[in-house]
Amino acid sequence: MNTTVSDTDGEKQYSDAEGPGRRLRALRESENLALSRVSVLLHLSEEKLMSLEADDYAKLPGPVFIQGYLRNYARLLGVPVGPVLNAYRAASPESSRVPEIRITQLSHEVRSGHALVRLVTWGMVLGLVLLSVVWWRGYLQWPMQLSGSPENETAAVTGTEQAESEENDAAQSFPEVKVNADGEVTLALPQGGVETLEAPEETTADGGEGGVDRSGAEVNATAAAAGSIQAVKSASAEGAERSGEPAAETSQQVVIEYSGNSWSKIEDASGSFKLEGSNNAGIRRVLGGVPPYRMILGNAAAVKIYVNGQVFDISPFIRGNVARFTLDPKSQSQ
Amino acid sequence: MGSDSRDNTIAPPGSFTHFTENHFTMLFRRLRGFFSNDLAIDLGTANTLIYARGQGVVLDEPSVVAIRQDRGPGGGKSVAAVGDEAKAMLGRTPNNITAIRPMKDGVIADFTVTEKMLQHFIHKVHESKMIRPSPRVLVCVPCGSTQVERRAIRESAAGAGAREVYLIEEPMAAAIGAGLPVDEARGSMVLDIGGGTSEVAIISLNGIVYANSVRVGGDRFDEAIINYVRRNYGTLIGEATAERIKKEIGSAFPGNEVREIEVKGRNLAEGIPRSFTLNSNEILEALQEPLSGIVGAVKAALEQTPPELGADVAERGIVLTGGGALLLDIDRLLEEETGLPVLIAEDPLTCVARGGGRALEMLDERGGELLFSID
Repeated sequence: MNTTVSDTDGEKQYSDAEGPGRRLRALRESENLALSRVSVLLHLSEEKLMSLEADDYAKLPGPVFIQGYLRNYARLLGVPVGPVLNAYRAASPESSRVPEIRITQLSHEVRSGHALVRLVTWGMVLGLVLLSVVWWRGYLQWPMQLSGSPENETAAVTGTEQAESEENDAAQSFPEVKVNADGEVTLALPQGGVETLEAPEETTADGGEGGVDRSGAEVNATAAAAGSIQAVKSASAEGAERSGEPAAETSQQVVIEYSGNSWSKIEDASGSFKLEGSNNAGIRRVLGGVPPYRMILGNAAAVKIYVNGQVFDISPFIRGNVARFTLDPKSQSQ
Repeated sequence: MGSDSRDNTIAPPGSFTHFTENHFTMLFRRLRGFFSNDLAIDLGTANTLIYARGQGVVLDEPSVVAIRQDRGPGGGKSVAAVGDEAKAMLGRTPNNITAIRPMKDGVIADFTVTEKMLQHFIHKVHESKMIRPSPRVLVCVPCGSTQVERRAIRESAAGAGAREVYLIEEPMAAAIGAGLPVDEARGSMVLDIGGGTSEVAIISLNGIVYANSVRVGGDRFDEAIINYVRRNYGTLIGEATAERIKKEIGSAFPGNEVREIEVKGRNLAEGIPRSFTLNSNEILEALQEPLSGIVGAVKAALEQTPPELGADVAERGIVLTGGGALLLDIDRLLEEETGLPVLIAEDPLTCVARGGGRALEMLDERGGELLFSID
């Protein structure tokens, strides 16, 4: 085989614009090989070989096949395969074209090593840490010990709250309230019926025992102040019933005054009296239920407690702005 | 037929391909694709190749695992080495280490070891990353594998940390990787000669028309050489030596020149290592039996092919992929046996992995309208 084409020479020659087919044809002719003979050796039809030698790729299948044919042809002639294929790729831009099934859109692919991904990941981690810190602080301050049925709680709270929020208005005219209370009963009779009848009985009975029943009395005072609005009345009457009963058993009065917003949870010994929720500045609450009281007071600096009119010092119980303690008015008064 | 094959594509379980109209789903898939690191794995008997999306073939290592049996009572087993390192140990291990090839005949022979190996490879690919993502993985399976074997591969990949596992048949991946126009209404024949199996398939319109898998591959070539040497020289050689002989002087068709190689093995009669010389004609003779198995499979495929597709194949030729295509003159053997042009694909070793990678890309691009069936 007189292959005069050396590796580097071949590269140079084949990279000419004429394409590899003509070069292969020239080689074939120089070796006196008939086209029909090559056709038999390569198992390719003569038409195909002619197209291949003419660098006419339109009649040939795909680039994969053309490269394969060229490789086999070059090998048959004893020519290095590499330069032939390079020449083909240079002559036919289609050869480097990826098959149409390939669709690559990798430009906006982001991998885990990407700066953005790292940033987002660290952001998420920091966020989680912050959230847990916030949660833990909140847990220290306002523990969520949700127990008991919510209906009871709300009923108790609304009952006393209404009584007390309006007590503020009527507080100045407290002595008159008692007097008015009796008068009010008669006034309210046509609307109140049985409920209003019970209320004055209790208030008069409890009246002798001191201020504990004040809430009951205040309720009627409220009713008087608010005129004859039915809704208010029934609510306050309920409040009177609830706070009136336990009040009868105790002789100590515990008042809580809020000078700032505070979340508190107060539970009495029997568990029937509960107060849970946030209280705004200026609210004053009188506790019902059976002492001793278990108290958790948020923002304790803004809370003042009076036991029988005397200030009860809660400062020893304050931990991180929250006071937790049990208050027994009896032991305090001694 | 075209529309039929599209309608019949199997949507991968766990993917959202059922609701392509749903914009939310599309958005979600894109978001997921934004962070995902997809891999196509050619889990072969001899070599495992991993193609990472957008990066090309990132791993090419032998499918060999060395297991160490820890000493002492109740000593557990641990992985001593995987890949190249483990392959160097094959046949050279002390008592407490066994170097094994967990894949046999293209399918899993040892489930747990395969899982460990995959885990190792997947981690190796992600070594430099801060977070190790749980990638979507596409694994190539032999077309002749049973449901049980496929499930084993799927579960093994899932156990190795894959988020989603897709399976694609090897000839399909090989054809895509070789750059064959699989979506055309013309028959393309591909022959993938791997380590454990050889797969021959005719593909048209994104589907496999005919496929057959024979359990003849590079391993059988090595075995044949070992047997030949034992029979004719009374000498025992190892698998690694047999592989070296095959790579250096192995050929499938008588050539003009005769090449020689000097090898050493244990003489069975004397029990002493002896050196001797083998030539390429002897190896050609040794390889006759496995080669005839492959030729038989190709001929059977041509017989079974519908005539129109057969005509297409006859006109354009058969494309060879896989490590077996590197055996000298195997294309000439097939040409002579079939009378058809036989072409070796470019970079035949990585064809399957590259094809799998492209399939993964297409999976994202075309979603529910998959162009080929992926289990």
